Amino acid sequence: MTGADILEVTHLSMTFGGIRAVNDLSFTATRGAITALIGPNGAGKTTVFNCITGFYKPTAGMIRLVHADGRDFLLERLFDFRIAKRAKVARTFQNIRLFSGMTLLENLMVAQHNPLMRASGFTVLGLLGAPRYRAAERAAIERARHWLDRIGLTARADDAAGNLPYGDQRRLEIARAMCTEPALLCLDEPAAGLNARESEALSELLLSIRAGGTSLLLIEHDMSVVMEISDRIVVLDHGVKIADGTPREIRDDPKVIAAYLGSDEEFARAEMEGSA
Amino acid sequence: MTTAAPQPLLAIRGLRAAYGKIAALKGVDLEVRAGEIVALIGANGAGKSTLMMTVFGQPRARDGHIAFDGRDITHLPTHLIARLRIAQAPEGRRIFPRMTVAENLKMGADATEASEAEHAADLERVLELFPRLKERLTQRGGTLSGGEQQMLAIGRALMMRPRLLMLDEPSLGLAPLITRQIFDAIRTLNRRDGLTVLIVEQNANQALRLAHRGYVMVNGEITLAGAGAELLQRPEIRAAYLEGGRHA
Repeated sequence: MTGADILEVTHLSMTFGGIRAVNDLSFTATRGAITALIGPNGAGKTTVFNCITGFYKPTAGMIRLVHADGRDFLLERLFDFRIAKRAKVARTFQNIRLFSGMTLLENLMVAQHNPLMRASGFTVLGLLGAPRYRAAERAAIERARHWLDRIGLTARADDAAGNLPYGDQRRLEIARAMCTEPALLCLDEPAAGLNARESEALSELLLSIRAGGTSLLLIEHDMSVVMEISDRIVVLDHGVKIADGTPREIRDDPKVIAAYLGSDEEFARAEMEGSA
Repeated sequence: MTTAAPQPLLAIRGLRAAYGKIAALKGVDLEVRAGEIVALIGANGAGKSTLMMTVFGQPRARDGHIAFDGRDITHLPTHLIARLRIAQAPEGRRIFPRMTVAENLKMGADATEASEAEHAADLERVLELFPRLKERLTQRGGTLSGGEQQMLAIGRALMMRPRLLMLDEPSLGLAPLITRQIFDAIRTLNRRDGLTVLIVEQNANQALRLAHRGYVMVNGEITLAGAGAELLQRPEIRAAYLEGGRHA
């Protein structure tokens, strides 16, 4: 692993009973880049995410995360909440998991619970109205406002998250993850349920997040998004890596076309271009 | 033309629905004739999913009428609406996570009066459509990947032998290859068995190509209706839903 990598996954395997969801998978994600993980349904993509973010403990293998300052973390040994808090890995979910009864602003405030609790001296100083807590709270609200603005939902800040249409809920999940100021942001199908225009806006949002210094790991089926914004693409099938390369290399890889895009050339090309 | 048009299978007139004080549907007219594939497109939040759910009485219509096969079902309880063999594959894969794949599919079949042999044939057909489900028949629904759950939701709806199949974003979370297989399957079921389909899709391009007719919904109102192929050609539709802007 070179210093340019933020994430190194080595010989990762995950089995559920007799089912081997991920089988001896190795790949790296470059710092400051967008790395996409694609593959057929059931290939093991979300399982990889769940291993990285601590929702699962892998059966075998190593997942190493390195911060820009050189500090490294072996994620398979950390509790999930420490992966979020210390290793600074944030994620979104394929099946949206917002606090649907809370407002948009509240959802973004919950994401900042850890720093706020610290500043409040675990509520004691907060109750006493210590200036440090008030400053932290102001900063948290400011950050929440900033992200509401970035995803274009400021006008709905006080609505319940559950009342948002599907596509907006997806963007709110991204904002919530970004409020934790992650080093690595893992997105599980962020473009699902978005139309072509909305996907385009999402691509721009993700590129701006990359420009802000956050590395991204992306699971996505919308090839117009994947091919446009990914720096590198890793392709999984049946828990095994079948290809790894630039969008151009992946697009022309016969194995990927056969397993994922479909062998009908014309269709595959239309999908890639995301056009009529 | 004076020839009497056949009575539509699903006829929606002046439909209004709301969540609390927020109006979601503001007087929608839409019909689906037997044997037709109709696509409903529109931006997120336009009210497309609400329209589908209002057909089932969740939420109840505040105003207007919904008729199925000539019968007013506006105020019919949801379970009786389902018994008319209107099937829905809901958005967000609402399968039964603790039941096996086979049990989930059987839940769809339980609403029908088909014989055991017919069930078996239906099951065979669904598994042919989604070979992935065949591999996973004894696994619990909740252990499937997201895309596989989507296949299961559609398969379960098909097991109902629907007279009207309502698909809410069937391509959601599916690999390009599978999406194409599903659209091909819908086309085949329509041509071969005359299956009537109402489909909501963000993938407007594929949906309009599949559909005989399409409706465009904006802020709870139908703003445009026409043949699928014709809507595909309209510049305002292309600009709003088909092109991401980068090709413009």
